[in-house]
Amino acid sequence: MSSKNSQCEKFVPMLDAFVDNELEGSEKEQVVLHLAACDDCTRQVKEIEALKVSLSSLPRRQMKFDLADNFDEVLSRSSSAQSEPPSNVVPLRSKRKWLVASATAAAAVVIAIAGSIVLKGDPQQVAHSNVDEQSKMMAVKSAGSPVQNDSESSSAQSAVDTHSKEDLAQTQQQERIAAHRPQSNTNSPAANKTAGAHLSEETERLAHGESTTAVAPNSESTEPLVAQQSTKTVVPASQAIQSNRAASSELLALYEDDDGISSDIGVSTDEDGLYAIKL
Amino acid sequence: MDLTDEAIVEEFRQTGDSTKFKSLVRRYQNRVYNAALRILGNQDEAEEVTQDTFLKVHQGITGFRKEASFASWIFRIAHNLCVDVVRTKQRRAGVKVVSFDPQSTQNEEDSLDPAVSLSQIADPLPSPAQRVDLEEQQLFIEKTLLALPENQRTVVVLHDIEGFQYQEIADIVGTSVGTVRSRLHYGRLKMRELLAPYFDNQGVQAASR
Repeated sequence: MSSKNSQCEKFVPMLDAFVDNELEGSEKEQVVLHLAACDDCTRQVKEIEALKVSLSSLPRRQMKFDLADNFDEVLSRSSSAQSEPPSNVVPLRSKRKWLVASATAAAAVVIAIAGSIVLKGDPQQVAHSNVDEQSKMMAVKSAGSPVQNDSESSSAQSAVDTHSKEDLAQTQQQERIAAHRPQSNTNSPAANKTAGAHLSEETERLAHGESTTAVAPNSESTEPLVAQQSTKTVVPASQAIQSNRAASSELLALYEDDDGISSDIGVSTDEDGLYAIKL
Repeated sequence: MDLTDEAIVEEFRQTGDSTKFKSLVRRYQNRVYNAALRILGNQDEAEEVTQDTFLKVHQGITGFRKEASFASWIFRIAHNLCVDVVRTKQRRAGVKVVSFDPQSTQNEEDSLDPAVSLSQIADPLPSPAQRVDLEEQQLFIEKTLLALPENQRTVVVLHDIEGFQYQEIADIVGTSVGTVRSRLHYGRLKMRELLAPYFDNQGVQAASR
């Protein structure tokens, strides 16, 4: 009896596979032999078969609507849902733009510190102590000719490129100049004059707009080098600050409701860029 | 003669003809829905899983390899979505697992379902003495099925309702044939115990006759 029970313990776990015809070879033969001698396991086989019949007889439930007919709509809804971030999350700017803005802001900080040192101390001393040779060269070129031609620009640019990150401000400055290049890409005096006027106007405007820390260019200055250097270094700084102010305005505008009421927001970044989240 | 699933998939991949894809949807939508409903026990969730399954199939059809049948592939996607739904519900409910399958509690990491003990079915079955008609019998079986741990229920649904073989089920749920065999055994054993008062050897008890 006990031997029969121990045999059942061995075969019971195999009965389902036997009923499902998933046993092969010796396993199947052993079960068949056991069933011939065991009523209890034979009863279990019948129960398993009956359960299978009951399960396979369950009604087949159907979708309330035909998904095939509506699949185009489902697909487009899904696509738009994936492309739209949650309603409380709004991307502010792309990663690239954010990196540029960050670099500009960093440059602004560096230049603002340098500028304040220049203004607090003896300009000439500061010029000699804090402005490296590359900066001087750039300043002299700018003082002499506000607009550089392509070769000058490229040589200056390559010089800047070989410089370390501490000259990021000058890189920004070069980019500013390069931005005007379409108007000055010929060497004609008229073009140079126009571009020069542009740059001068901008320099003056930015210098004035920058507050009292800015030093306006002064051709009468006895210290043209320092004056020009200071002005030139202030330009990208003020530009960067203005840029950041613009970004702040953009941020506030994004989170102003139609009624003009601003919401509390948090700011987050991920690999895709900068996001603001309504709180 | 109807084209095979794989032939339709190939035509859709070559032509991009959406009617080809829709014919696959039409062929499988109710099977997927029915299986999801049996596994999840909730119509809305089953519909969502069905919809998401075909979105994923559409998205990944270029990656479909013919090593497995299209049916196995589509049910694997549906199964994964069902598991996500079950786990999300468990996290929200903070449900502790009580499994009927000693192997699954001791050896398997995926026995994370709101398993119930024999006395824990929310809506108890009527007394065997009560007369029950066929519809009620089916309701008993459906409820009993839902009383199984999710991993056992899935295997029972895929085998006894959807008609997949052990190897196909192993591919769908990502486990071994031995585990499928074990889950099917323990799942059916539990169902037989729950339904024993209503069972004779031919099916649900003749109490209704």
